[in-house]
Amino acid sequence: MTMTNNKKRGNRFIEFLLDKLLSEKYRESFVGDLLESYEVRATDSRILARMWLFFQFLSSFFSLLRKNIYGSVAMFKNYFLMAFRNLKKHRTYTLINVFGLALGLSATILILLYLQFEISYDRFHENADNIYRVCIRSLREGRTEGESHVYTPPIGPDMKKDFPEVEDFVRMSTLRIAYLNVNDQAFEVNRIRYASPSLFEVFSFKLKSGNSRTALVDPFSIVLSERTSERIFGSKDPIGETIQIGPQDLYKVTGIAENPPSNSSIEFDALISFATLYSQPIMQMDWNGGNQIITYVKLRENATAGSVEEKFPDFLWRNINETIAQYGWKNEAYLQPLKKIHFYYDESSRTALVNFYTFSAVAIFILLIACINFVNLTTARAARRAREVGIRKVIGAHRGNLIRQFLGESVVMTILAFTAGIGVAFILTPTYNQLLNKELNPFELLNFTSIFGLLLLILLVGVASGIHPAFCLSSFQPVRTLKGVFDSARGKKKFRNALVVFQFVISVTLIICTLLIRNQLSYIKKAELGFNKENMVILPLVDQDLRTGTEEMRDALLSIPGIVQAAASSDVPHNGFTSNGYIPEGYSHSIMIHALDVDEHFLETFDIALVKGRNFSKEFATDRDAYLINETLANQLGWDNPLGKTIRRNGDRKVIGVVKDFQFATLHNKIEPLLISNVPWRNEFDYMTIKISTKDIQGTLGSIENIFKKFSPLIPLEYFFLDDAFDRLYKSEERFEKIFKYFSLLAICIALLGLFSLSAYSAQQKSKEIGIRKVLGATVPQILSLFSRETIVLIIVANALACPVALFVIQRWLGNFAYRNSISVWAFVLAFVGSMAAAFATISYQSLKAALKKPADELRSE
Amino acid sequence: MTDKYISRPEEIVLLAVWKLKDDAYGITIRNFIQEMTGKYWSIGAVYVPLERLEKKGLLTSYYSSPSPERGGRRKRLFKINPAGIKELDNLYRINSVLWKGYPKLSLDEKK
Repeated sequence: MTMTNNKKRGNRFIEFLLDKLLSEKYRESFVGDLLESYEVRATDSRILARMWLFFQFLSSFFSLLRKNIYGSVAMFKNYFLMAFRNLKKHRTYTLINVFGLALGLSATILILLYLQFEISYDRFHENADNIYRVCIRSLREGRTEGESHVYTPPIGPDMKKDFPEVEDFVRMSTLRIAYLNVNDQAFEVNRIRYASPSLFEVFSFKLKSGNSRTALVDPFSIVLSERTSERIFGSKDPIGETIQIGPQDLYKVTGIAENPPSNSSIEFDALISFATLYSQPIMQMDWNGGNQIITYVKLRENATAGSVEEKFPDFLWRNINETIAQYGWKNEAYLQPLKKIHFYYDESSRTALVNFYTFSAVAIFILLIACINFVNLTTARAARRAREVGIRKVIGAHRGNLIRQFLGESVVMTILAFTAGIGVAFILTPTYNQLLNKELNPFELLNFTSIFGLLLLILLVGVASGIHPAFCLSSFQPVRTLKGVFDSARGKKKFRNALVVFQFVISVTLIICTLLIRNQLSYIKKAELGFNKENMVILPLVDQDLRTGTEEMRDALLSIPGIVQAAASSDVPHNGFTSNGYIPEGYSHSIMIHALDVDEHFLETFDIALVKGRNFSKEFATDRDAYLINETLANQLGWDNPLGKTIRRNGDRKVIGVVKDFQFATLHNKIEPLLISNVPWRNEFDYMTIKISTKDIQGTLGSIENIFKKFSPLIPLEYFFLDDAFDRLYKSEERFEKIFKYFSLLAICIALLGLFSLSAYSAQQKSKEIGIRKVLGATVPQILSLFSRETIVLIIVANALACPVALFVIQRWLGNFAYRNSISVWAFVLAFVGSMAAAFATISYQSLKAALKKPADELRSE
Repeated sequence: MTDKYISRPEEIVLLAVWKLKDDAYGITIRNFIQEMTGKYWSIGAVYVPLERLEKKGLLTSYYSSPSPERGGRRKRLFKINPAGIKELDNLYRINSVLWKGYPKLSLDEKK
């Protein structure tokens, strides 16, 4: 018995399959026969018997397949054939339909490309799932004062020491800009980081040459990215070369790293070994040192972020909270998963997430508009095909057959549209990349998931857009359609109209949003900043002598006739200033205040008004220990008369004046408290601002360069205009607006395309009616108005529905700005008039054609 | 009684069922036919004629009790019924009339 059981088990799979495949009738007898013969054969040789059984199974399986599938394959072939014939017969209709769908699809593909890129952020790291960024929330008396991923240097090593879950850590500094001097030539490198040697082990950044284990170990080692290395050394191998940064530090090139991919949230042009930081005296590297280090930890395979976070309170108490608790401060730590950083925790993640959702929605809507065209056109044409359906039914087609036929037709159409759409998307990618300022590669879509996804999308769009026509057409009663009593059904017309309204709601909403976004951007550009930004040339000061000797350079510059005024400062207002903790008079704790260091000429150069007190002056020696504050700070501190009050950082300093508020950061934020001092940090200024007259700007710039060369022979002159810098601040918003503009144009184009062919259809249907009307004396304008009335009502309804939607969307977007333009009614009016005009123009071609026809031609036959 | 003649495979299968009496089911029928005709018949091949014959009312089928050597499945046994016998009689008559006087030409030639 056990024998038979074993044998049975061996064949269970085939038995099971046969049971599934065979009809009930044969299951018992046929499978039984097979097994019995198998048993007989098995007495000779088990293996041969097994092979025999398998062969039997295969042969029966194939013959079954042949018999069952062949019929349906033939049917399918017929459907496709019919589909192609039908499409060929109505060329314009097919063209419009396919073209609309192709446009919609190419837009969707392009957007998908962008979405895929956004999702792919930081996923290329092999350990991406186990890497976290350590983040700190600082609280004072229980209130959150600040949150940041930039923290003290020792937290990484101490975490590795105390937490068994932490396998490794990477420390890196924030990005800095520096001039790399090689052979008396200076190269500006924008993104430099200090990073620990473990960077190449924890992350999947790769070294092209050099040893990834040792490249970042020794102090004063530098690893260049491929791009930087090419820029500085050309094709030469730079390993072992010396680079000078700053007045005396010499760095040795120990490696060349592959450029970090564009979907990496960690960017760099050059990496300097972290150990270098320890040999710089101004850096504080212990727990209460400067918060300027980003720490990533790699957890062990089976460890969770939660288990680490549980231990943070105790860990932080030992290391820092115990000391700062007496001042009411407390730090809390948490871990941010690497993969989520791009969307949730980065400086730019708010825009990234908003853009992501907006574009997903736009993609879906554009596809929807294109699909609606398809549905509308097909149902509209249903009347013409009613006869075909009737005949098919009489011949014996089942409803299922017809449904399959129509679905097949729409799938064929979708495949055509997809092919065209993919082509268009490929052609448009370079332009699109320029718009987005990204490097998207359409070939990245050529992987298994995407192709599968595209196929699925084809099927989905094909079926979704074909499903309504399929079911509606197949439900015609043959007797009635053949008799010619086919009413185009009022209900169906209502449905069609609803879809048209929906299309226009979407496109009008997009247009209103585009207009309002534009409006806001131009408002921002014209906004009153509280200082003059026109004709201001900014020179970043790099050379050491220049930084300390701004006084002499300023004197030299002022001798140029085209220069009105010049001033040195630690920063220029456009992208925000750093902030420090200060203790104002009457306060027991420090508060965060933005800080700016300027010389005496700053206020005059920038046209910033003084509200109270006086400016810094050379005549008062004590001014080097004085502060100016802005109105916001005075208000926040509740000081009615701030003059003479003191603010403490390194010693008490007196406030000698109050400046009028000016906007020193982007208009996303309100003006924040600001404190201006006369003495720069380490006595070095970072920028020289030159106010020039509008006459002979080129000449003035040339003279500036001559003077600059005298003071800074090594480092070449670089300058920018302040108003340009301001415009750059809103680049991402401008890009957003541009893309939005194109996609909304596309949406309305597709919607109009649909309207065009719908009007063609209805002109055809009403040709007799128009003929009769003309015979009875109707004029062309009367017929035109008869024609457009309905469409115009639809557009009005669409506009009415779109307004609140657009209002809701745009208010969300405007929420990003502290300074908003009021929502202009003109945008709504413009969108209304525009959509109306476009719709009218679209339908009038067809209606004019119909209205101008000779009634005799229309009425002659029948 | 059918108006049409039954096909050759049906004829062979019907004869086999008659000869096998109470033990006529898929395997025995197939073995029997293979022995008699010397040609390969797949297991499934006997079922198609069997099915048709049953539909024409010349055979009846019933299930035996399950047996272990068949993986616990039942046999579907076939039995010829009076109409089937009549059909065989008819066939025999026609065949013998048709074949009468036919010499074994091919055998003669080989000799």
